[in-house]
Amino acid sequence: MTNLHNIRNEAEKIRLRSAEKSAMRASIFGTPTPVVLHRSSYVFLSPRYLVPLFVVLVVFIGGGTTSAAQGALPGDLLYPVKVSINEKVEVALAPTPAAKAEVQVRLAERRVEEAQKLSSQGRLNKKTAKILSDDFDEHAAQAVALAGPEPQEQITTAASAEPQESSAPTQATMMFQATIEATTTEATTTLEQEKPSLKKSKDRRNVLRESLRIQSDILQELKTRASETELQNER
Amino acid sequence: MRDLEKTFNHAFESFSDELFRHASMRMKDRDRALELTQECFMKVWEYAQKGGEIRELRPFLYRTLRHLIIDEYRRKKPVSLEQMVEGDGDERSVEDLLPQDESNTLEAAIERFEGKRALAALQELPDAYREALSMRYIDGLSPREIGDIVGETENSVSVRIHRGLKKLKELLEHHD
Repeated sequence: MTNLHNIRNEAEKIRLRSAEKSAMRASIFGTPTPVVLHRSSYVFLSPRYLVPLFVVLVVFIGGGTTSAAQGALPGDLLYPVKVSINEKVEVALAPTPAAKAEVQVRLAERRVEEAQKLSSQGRLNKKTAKILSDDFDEHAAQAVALAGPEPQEQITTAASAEPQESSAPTQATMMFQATIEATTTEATTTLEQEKPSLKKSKDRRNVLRESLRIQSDILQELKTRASETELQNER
Repeated sequence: MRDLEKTFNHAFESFSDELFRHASMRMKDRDRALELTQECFMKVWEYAQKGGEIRELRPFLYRTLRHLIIDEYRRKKPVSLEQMVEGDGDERSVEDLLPQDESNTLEAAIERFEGKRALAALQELPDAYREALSMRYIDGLSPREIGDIVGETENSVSVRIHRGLKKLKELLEHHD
């Protein structure tokens, strides 16, 4: 028996993000065990080889399918193709970590667009909204990871600047902040290398921050609206 | 070999979140908590691969994590080690005589506060209390299990939990 449910429930929210978990798993088990006694001749059938092969095949042969998938929305037949192939390829094709971070930010933004489209068609339900915002978090986390470490204080100031919503401020909002920070730090570092005016980087930073905050609000609103309509439908 | 990896993989799936949670309670810095969690699993996995004997994985993982956290504290601020053991040792016998259900009263008092606030207050406690309370109430370990992990008697763990609760309650009511 354990008491203090208030604390326990709150602490339950502290979790590894799935990207973090898989990165961790990779670094723990990733180092291949030195003892490989016997290698099956069907080794090319293992997922390790099949997945890249499949991606390559799809890129070359299935160009039609993938470009058709580009406009797919959650629930569409081709949506999985879009998310798990097109977007993975997009990330893979970005040459530098900075470019990859940029792609991740763009993918995060795309989730918001999808939520908007679905909502306008009246197809956004609670479950899809959650999937989209989780996916958003994931891309944002990736972007942060790729953009490298960022100063801690910046996040906290940004987070406290954000008006506290009555409902849980949600991870999504937090991650939006992180994304903003990641993009801005990235922007500043590249800018610093080129030694431009500080003012310019600051402007860029503010523009980014503003636009992402707006996006975050949109996603939040869509999410609440989706659960509200679902509640009404239940009645 | 395969079996071992399977077992360990399963352990990773089941315990990574709670160990990370525990590390987060002790470290504050999320990235550091992540690193420690990973290091903990890597160390234990290495140990297991070398044929080291592990009777029960979960306490073993907690023990390893604990050592890593202590190392971390030691490296960062040598002073805090003293804070970690602050207050314990003296007047232990008096605490032992307290009626058992006083803990329940304290728990009930803390339970009245909102989770977010209570958790934040818990993170302000000295580490020794933070450790005991998070193991007890967040990781759901019994005082005996905690004793095994930290290498102390069940009794002194209970005392620490009790004191921690008291401090936590004071902290919460003080802020009111």
